Amino acid sequence: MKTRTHIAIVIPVLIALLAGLAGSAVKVDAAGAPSQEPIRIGTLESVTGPPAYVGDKMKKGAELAVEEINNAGGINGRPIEWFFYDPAGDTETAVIQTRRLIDVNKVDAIVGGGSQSGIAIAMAQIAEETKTIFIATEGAREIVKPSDGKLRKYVFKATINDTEIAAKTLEYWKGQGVAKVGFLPDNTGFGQPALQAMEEQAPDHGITLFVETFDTSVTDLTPQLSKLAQEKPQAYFAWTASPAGVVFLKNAKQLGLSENAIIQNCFGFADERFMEQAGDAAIGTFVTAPKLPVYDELADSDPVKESAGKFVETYRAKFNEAPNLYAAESYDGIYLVAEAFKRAGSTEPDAVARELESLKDFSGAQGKFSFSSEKHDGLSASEAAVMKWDGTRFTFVE
Amino acid sequence: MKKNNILIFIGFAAFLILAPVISPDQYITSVFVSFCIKIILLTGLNVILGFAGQMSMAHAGFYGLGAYTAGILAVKLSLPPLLALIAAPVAVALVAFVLGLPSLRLHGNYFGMATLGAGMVLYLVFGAARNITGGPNGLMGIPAFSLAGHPFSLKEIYLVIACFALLGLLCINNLSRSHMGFALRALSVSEDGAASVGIDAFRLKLSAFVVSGVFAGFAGGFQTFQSRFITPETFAFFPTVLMIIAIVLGGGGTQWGPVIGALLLTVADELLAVYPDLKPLILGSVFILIVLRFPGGIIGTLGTYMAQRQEKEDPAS
Repeated sequence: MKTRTHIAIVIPVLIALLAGLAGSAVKVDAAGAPSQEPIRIGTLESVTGPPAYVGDKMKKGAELAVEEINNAGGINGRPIEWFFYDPAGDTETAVIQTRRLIDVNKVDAIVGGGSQSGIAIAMAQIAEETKTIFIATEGAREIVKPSDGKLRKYVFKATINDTEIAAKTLEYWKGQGVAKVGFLPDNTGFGQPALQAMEEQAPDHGITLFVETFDTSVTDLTPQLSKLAQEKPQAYFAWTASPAGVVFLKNAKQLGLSENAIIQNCFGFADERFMEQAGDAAIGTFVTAPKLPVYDELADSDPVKESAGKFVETYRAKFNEAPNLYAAESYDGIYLVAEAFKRAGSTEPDAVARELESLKDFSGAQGKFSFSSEKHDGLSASEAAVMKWDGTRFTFVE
Repeated sequence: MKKNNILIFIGFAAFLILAPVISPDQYITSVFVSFCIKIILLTGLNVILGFAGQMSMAHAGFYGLGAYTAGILAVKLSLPPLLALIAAPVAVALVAFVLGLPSLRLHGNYFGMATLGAGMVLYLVFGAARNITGGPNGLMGIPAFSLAGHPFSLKEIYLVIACFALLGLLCINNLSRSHMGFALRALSVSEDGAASVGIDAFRLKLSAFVVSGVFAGFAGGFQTFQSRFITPETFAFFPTVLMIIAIVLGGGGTQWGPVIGALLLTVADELLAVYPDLKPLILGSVFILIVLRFPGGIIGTLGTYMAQRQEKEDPAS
């Protein structure tokens, strides 16, 4: 009698487990696909969990790019078959999903590293071991180049390095005669590497940094700003992608700092939603970011004007909302890998990696991408711009 | 009963060990790795939550403490992986002991609140102690697990983890039939009642808490060496809630409850990976349904059902 009890337990358990493993991903897209063998691309972005405020846009950007490429006839006539999973900000989940993309879905490339640098780093390890092309949409430099200093062969990045943003900003300040800067990086993996980058580069521009770190959950930055104000800096620069940047703008206004100093945010703040939250306090403040928000002010000779313009237009049409840089990162990621597949004429990872490395001045939504065998992050300081918020939109400054 | 249980155990062990070995791809193996780590974690939580009836909400924190202890020792002090792995449960056991001394004097929800606080503090420390843990960016550079110069492949480390999970199940099986197991179940029903028959409730609860910490420590150590990268997010508040749900669903205080719970979590993760927006909704609905209709969990309900059927068929006994 009891044997049957146990069979009753064990059999559903086994069936459930096997069903779970066999359940393959929903194949999104490939509508009206030509009969040719598809090129499989997988994407991991966190549309739930803590990084959801960036992950949602990233998923949409990738979705749009896949749809556009397929509508235009695919890559050398081969449609893209797109697989999407949501790791919800958890590395453990992301590791399993990455293996699922590689082993079960048999993807030829992965674009998007879970919307969080830490996750992208874990995925980069797997991609490198399994020789899978991986284009990250996350920021950290360690994704393409781990701390032991050797560049990963199959891993690339569709985002700008913090070092490039730091370089562009310092250059701008130098031209404005700024010698002392109050710098406020947040205490996350976004702000801390930036602190290192700023500290390394500031002396070359004759600029002295005074630093106050803060937590992203902060609701008042007055103490930090007051302390920095004692040094009389000509610029205040916050480095965060969290709503704390709004607090920074509001407090700077309340303390009257904006009257004789530049108030500036990094590219985490090139988002109208944040600026609108800060209201009047944001007017006249600056942001250093890739050119997307001010694409329509670029010279007609700059190809980014057209490529970014097309992205903004089609994104608005599809999702009925304004795109931002996060959406552009995954959009560019898909286009970059598609271009490399096209040029390589195959999906053989070594050939695709070689083609990615030889891409020069490839015009995307964020700017012009140029890779090389020493550089797996495609955007340089020349693709960043300093821009000013006038209360309704960003305007190009330099 | 005993004989059947042995048969199930052997069948389950064969399944655990063979399935990934015969499967060609790494994905299946990594799903099984995750399954086995969850078994170890939940088996530990079952000791304090299922058997002793104490709502410990520090379990994800303990899991993280084990993971970070192993990771930090291997990365910052370059300790051999085996030593780092063994240090993890030791560290967690110590913390569980120190934390249990004051908090286990609290009863019911107050113990839950105290451990919830402790779990949150651990989670915050993982994110804030940037110099040691790598902060929110995660701990990088964890070496592959190796023994005597031989680095373990994913399949090899899986076999180690699977054997541990099975060993853990055996220990719990023994525990549940030992004096301690009976005493724990007694005190989960009524502490005063247990005390009246000479059970030292506080000492017993403390031992159970430390044992659950040891399991969490091993799970954390294994997690560190299999993913070779850890971030605080894995050990946040929500994972604790999921673990408690898994125990309730599987059946608390039973040997196989945590296995069923781990299976449900693993399968839910994989099946619902393509419907991320629906995941909380589906998990939540299933949970409500089970708590309302089958408060004993899957194993508990099945047990009751079989007992009733047996009574009907065998009125003589």
